[in-house]
This record gives sequence, structure tokens and C-alpha cells, in this order.
Amino acid sequence: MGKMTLTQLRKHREQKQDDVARGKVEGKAIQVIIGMGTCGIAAGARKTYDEILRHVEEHGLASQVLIRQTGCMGLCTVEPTVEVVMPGLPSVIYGKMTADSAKDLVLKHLVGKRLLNNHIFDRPAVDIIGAASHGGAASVGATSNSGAASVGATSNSAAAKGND
Amino acid sequence: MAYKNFILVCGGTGCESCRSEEIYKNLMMEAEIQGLKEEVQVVRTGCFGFCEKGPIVKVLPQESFYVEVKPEDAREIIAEQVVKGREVKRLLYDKGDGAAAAAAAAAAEGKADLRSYQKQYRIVLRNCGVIDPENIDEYIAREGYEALEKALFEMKSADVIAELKASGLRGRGGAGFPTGMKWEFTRAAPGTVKYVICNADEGDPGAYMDRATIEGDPHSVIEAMAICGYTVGATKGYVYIRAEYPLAIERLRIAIRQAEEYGLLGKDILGSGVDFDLEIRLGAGAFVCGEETALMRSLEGNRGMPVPKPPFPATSGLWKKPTVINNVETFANVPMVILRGSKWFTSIGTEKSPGTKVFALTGKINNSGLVEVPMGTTLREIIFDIGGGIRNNRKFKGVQTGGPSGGIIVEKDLDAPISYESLTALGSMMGSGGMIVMDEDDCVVDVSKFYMEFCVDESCGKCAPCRIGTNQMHSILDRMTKGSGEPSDLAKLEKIGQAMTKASLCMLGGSAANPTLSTIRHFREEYEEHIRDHKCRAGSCKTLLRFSIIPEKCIGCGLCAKRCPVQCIAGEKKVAHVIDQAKCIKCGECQKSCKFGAVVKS
Repeated sequence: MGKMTLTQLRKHREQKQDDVARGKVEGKAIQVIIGMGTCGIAAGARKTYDEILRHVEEHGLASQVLIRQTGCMGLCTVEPTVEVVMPGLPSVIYGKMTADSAKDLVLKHLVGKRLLNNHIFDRPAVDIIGAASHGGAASVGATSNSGAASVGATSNSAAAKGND
Repeated sequence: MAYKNFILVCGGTGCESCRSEEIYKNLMMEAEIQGLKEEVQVVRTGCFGFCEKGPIVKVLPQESFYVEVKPEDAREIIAEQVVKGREVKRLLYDKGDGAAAAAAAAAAEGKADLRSYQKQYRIVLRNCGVIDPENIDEYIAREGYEALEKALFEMKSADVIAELKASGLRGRGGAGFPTGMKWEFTRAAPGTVKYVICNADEGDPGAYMDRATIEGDPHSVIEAMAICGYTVGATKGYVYIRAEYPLAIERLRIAIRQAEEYGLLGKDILGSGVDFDLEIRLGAGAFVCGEETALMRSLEGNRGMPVPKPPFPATSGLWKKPTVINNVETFANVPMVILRGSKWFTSIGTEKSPGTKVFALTGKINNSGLVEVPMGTTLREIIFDIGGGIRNNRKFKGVQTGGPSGGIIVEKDLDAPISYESLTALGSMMGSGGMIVMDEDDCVVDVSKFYMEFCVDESCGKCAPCRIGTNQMHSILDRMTKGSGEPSDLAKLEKIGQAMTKASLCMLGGSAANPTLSTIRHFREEYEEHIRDHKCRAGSCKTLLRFSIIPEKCIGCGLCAKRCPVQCIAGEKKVAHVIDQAKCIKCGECQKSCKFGAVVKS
């Protein structure tokens, strides 16, 4: 995509928000999100990433699972951190996910649909961005945002209509 | 087989000590008794950081957050929540009904909803740990570049400034100057060429808020800088970042390229007719280059040394042109202030310090990490709730805020709500956000020496008070830690410190004495002990330590002699051993190895 006009940007945003709302990113339903800030990488996040990828492929899950990176979540003592978002299970953040834990994550969580013991940490704060948030805390965030976000949202839809 | 419910039981040390293990077992047992083993999974978790209200139990997917749970509550949680799908109201943290209604009411008034049990509220870090920082689309999907749209197409530059001024946003680099005023002065300054600079030269020991922000959400800074360019009439911006942050630089580069591709930077942004270009400039890691005038000299290609103010950067900054220079965290706030409005922003934090502050919580703390809290949160909440208290159950001694320019804050002041004014009143400062927690094993003289050594290394040498003062203070502190302090030393430290504070050219020297002066104020006795008794009660000044063996307790096993790296422990088998003080390097290995408590430190 090249340079955009205002209408194009708004349309592009709506489309991306729709993708997130439908729970699919790049056509995959399961997301494994690895914290890859300097602190995560120093604690071995790259190895964890590689190991998760290997086990996902070995179990034939590559077509369903998207492995992504993100920045630092702030839970520096328990790096590497990995968030798992998948249908049928609540989204959770796992800490202390060294490469050795990758197999457990794939076998127990992704395949067995069970949460892992001794690794879950709480999301540090509610998400103030409504549209794209996932997990339970989002409901609160979404409501509180609706008022403030309405300005942008209205103008968005108006712009989209204008473009049609 | 799929579970309907997941019960998370906090397994942090705080909760464990109040019987969380028993709760876990009871929940498992109840699930079995009530025939629900296939319906519910009970999971032990890491620390949830809400220890004062522990033990914590959280039920998913309902997000029911139970506090002060007792083992005997297990039956009710299973019977009510898993079987009947009803929350156990009396255990809920937020017992009131209508949480959604309250949230909606706050939203209707354009205010933030701050009622969560979580003490953190993330504006600056809103996308950190959520989006892929190397993918602009993920930022865009989360209201990214909406503030830029709003500013360019719905607001005049005067409106942006009015909104910022009304929001009360103040510089997060530490000094707390109102951002709206800075932008207004620059906009009003005569001249057609103006600049926007982002100060990402984060140099305080233990501080990494800006690094994490750029690594996790580079576009928030880019968007804010473009808004700033439009507002003040600048078409060129620079991010000055230290070369020792390679990952942040790489992600910023990728982000700038992506923004250019989308036409969010460059010529005629989104067809608005506004131009704004952004470049990265690498700093070599000199602490003084975080000082804005020195930073601009370095950006110009000169040696990074401060120049006296006024003139302020707003009228004569980079290449003597009007310049806005803001810190990373300040910029990261801007898109949200523009998008949500000043009313929303001022509903968070305190009257004079609205919004949040990011802190890098490190030192002797259980949950070290990056925290963002509303201004007005107390240090106690940060250290003991979010931070989970002091490691290994040691005693809290103090917390250093503001790095080498700040001071120590002690137990009695922990309940002060955090704001620019309150921290200054306590003899410290907000600073950029480093927060180093110390326990009883940390020696204040040694810590002061560490910070002073840092200032000696980092002083640019341009002005005498800082160049000579830091050296003098360091040598005095150094001799105190080695047992050769003199009775007049404390008075000397105070005198030099005050002179430096008054006479230095920039804040590096102007604040370098703060850690020493504030620790003398709070821990004068410990300084005196070092001078008079050659004693370090924290046991961290090694020269002053003395390890010895109590003959009555020593059985002569010889283990300590074997472990000693310099072979300075001697003795016959089964006879009390003796340490040769002249050879001892005070490593403490003998004490660690002795199973009979015969080795003592004094």
C-alpha cells in the first residue's frame, strides 16, 4: 500500500479492526504472542519463539496458529512472557516461559485446551483502547471508551459511506 | 472435552503464606466431590500483585476477582459459580452491582474509568505488549494515527495547544514543564524554520521506560511528533536516541519507514498540505546529553555540553531556531490527550499533575518491572501492592527516585501521593521515572558513592562547581566507606553539595549532590558510624567488615578453610579455626559454608 488519503486510512483502519473483532488475524484463529522487548530477549524469548514454532509445526498446527511478537508488557521479573489467545479458552499471559516450557504450552494449552500451572500472571491494567482489545477485561474498557471514541467512530463511518 | 470455567489461585509468596495452597487443594477436592472435574480447571498462578488483599482467586472467563479468600470458601465458589453460574458476591473485590453502569456513566461524562482492582492505568504503555511494534497496521487498528487525523483536519494549531494546556500535561522527562506552553512559545516564536526533537537519551541508572516505550510502540511517538510539527509549524523532527538501544533504534527505523510509505510522514500528509519529516540521530551515551541544551549541541555535531538558559529552546534551540524538545513519555501521551480530550485526561491523576507516570521499578523488590500508575498513587502502593514488597522478606530501607539527580524516600513518607510537587517536597524529585528500592542490606554511604561516581564520570567538565565538586564529594564518600572518614567530613559534604547545587551550569551538577544530601538528612547516624566507629551496619562496605570464628561454636570441620578462595583460614582438624584478618578479602564464603553458625560478620 502506498501513500494514503484520509478516507483510505479510515477505511484501512476499519478493515483491520474488523479482522480483530472477528478474532482472526492473518486468517488464523489462535495467536501466540511473545514479548520481545530487550528484557524478554535477554531472558531467552528468541529461543522460546523458535521452540514454540518448532512444536507448533511438529503437531501440524501451523495453519491455525499465528506466532507474533510484541513489546515489553512490563512484567520484567517473569520474562519471557507469552500471551495465548484462542477460541474456547480465556486469553492468558504466561510468564517465565523459557524454551523448556514451549512443549508444555503447545501440548497442554494449544492441543489439550488446559491452562498451565504456575505460569499465569495477571494483565497489568485494563485496556484503554476499546476496539481491538481481547480477553475479558475488554468489556469494561470497551464501555468506558465508547463515549470518547464515538467522535472518531462516527466520522469513520461517515467517511466510509462517503467513499462508497 | 473442554472446560467451562477456569479458577486461578494466586501462588505468589504473599498469598501462599496465607494458605493459598489449601485453597487450591480444596477447590480441586470440591470440584471432584461435586462431580465437576470435567467442567472446571483449577490453576495455580504467579503473583497477581495485589498482596494486601490476598489470597486472590480469579475465575475465568467471567473475570470474577475474589479477594481475601479462605480455604472454606472453596465449596461455595464451586457450587455457586461453576454449577449455577452466579458470582460469590461477598468475596468480590468490587462488590457493587452495575460495574458496567458506572463505567458507562464515566464514559458519558468523558472521564476515565479508574475503578479496576488493578492499580496500574496505562496510557503511555497502552500498546506495549499488545501490538507488534514492527507492524503499523496493528497500531492503526488501535486508534493509531486517529489523533493526527483529528489534529490535521478538525483542529487549528491553536486548538491543539488549547487542548494540551487544558489537559495539564507536563514534561515527563522530570522537570514537569507544561507541554502546551512549550508548544505555544515555539509556535509564537518568529521564524519560518522550526524543529521538533524527541529526547530519547535515557540515562538514569535503572531507568528504561523510554526504551520500552519505543521498543513496544514506536508509532505513538512518531504520531505525536507529527502533531507537534503541524502545531508549531515545524517540518522537520529528530529523535535523539542513544546508540546503546539497538532494538529501539531498529524498531523506530522500521516504524518511520512504514509511516512514510503510508503517507503519515513526509510531504502533504494525508492530503492535508502539511509536511513533516523525521530522522533518527544517535547519541554516544553521555548522560549530560539528556540535558536539552547539551543534546541540541550534540545534534548539531558539536561536543555535547550545556549552555546557559535563557534563551530557551522555544525561541533559540537547534541551530538557533525555535525548537520543541519533549521526552518520549510526554510525546506518547499526546495522541491520547488529543483523541480523548483534556476532560478525560484530567480525570486521571491529581489536580496539578494530571495523567499517569511510568516507573521502572527495580532493586530489592519482588516484582520488578515497568509500571504505569495514575499520579497520586502512593509509593507504598507501587512498592508493596504492584511490586509485591521487598525480596526475601527483608526490611524496606528507602526508595531512590530521580536517579543520580533525585533523593531517597524513607518509610515514613511512603504514603505521600506521587506528584511533581510532593516528591520535590520530600527532598527527591520525579525525575524520568527510575525507582530503585533498597533494603536493610544496602548501605546509604555506598549508594551515595555509587551515584557520585556516576556523576564524576558523566560531568562534562565545562563548569567548575560540577567538575571539581563531584570529584571532591566522591573522594570523601570513598574514604568513608574505607574507614578513613574524618569528623569534619559530613559538614564538608554538605557545604560542597550546597555550593554545587547553587553554582552549577546545568541540572547535572545542580542535582548531583541530591542523593548524598538526602541520605545524610535521613541517615545521618549511619554516616557517623562509618566515620567514628568504622562500622557499616548494612554490611556492604567490605573494607569495614570483619569475619571471625566463634571458637565455642566451631567444631573444626575445615569446610570454611576449603571454601576460602585466598586460603586465609587455618586450624587443626576438630579444633577451632582462625581467620587471618590481614589476608581476608571479605567475600563471605566462609559464613555461607558454615553449618554451625560459627562464622560471624561484624
